[in-house]
Amino acid sequence: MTKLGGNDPSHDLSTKSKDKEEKKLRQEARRLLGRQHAKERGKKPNRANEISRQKSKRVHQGTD
Amino acid sequence: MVTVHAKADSIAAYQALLTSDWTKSLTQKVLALLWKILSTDASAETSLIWQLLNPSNAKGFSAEQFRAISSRIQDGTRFIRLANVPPVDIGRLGEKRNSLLLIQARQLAAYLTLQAHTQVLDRADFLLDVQALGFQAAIHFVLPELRERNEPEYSLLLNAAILFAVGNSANDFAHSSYMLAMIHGHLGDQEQRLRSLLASFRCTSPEDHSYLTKAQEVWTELLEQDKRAEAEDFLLDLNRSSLPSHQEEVREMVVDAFKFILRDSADNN
Repeated sequence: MTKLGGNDPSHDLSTKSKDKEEKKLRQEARRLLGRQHAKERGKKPNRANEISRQKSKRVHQGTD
Repeated sequence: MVTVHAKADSIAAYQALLTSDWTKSLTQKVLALLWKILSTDASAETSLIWQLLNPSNAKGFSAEQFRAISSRIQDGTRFIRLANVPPVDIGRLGEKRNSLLLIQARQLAAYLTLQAHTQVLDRADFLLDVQALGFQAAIHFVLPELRERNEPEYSLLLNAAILFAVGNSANDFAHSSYMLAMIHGHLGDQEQRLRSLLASFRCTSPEDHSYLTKAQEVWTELLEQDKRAEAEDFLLDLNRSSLPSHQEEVREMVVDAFKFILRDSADNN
């Protein structure tokens, strides 16, 4: 089963998958940089941050 | 008392919400998932909170019953002072007929503060993950519409979202600050938004997967606020402090920032 991030470590994405998804969202957000796109641009990093939330703790603990 | 279940189909639904583009339908999908992962024993099925969480009971929920939950949210937010946050106007709650938007607002407010209303057993971490998506739905879709319509449920949900964000500070200060930045942004308090984004970034290690996302949030916010010199300094510092594996993307960020500045300057001339 694919694992995803968050507070529950049992459904975490792989480090590589998360990095790829987050990088894509950051790039999309940068393309929308400008006041006229502020609302839509805001969702991209929010989603990237939600994907990566808490994961790093597991990385630091060596369990990811 | 409620029990949280994290079955394979619920995890798959959570993953789908996280990896798909967020549209207005996110709210109803998150509420459905929140309901799906919870159960309670037969004796608690008639309890106030359980009736409120149940989507099939929501339309028939009386304002008077709902005030008990609302009072607890109001009491909680008395400890948190944020500028521009209207207090919960309990007297006006439920004064209008039950539209889908109002039902979503009341249910989201209850779900975001669930741990204050009842005991949560078993997979509480998974509940927190799905609640976090509920927070996103509130910020991006429900709160803006409630504010536009001047609904009393606006202050209820806003205060519930603030409690949820602050409640995360004990175990994940960086994420708590990030959520507060979202709230400040919604309130139009750009100075506090920037301060919260900086706090979130400074509490995040370069090894953290969210490091570059939080960094980008800071410099793009600086540019949005016409603080170009600060944005440039921030990006130069980022270039020095980031990991070798980040260098390529940081360079892309620098290029994109300068493209924005050039475009913005051209538009203003």
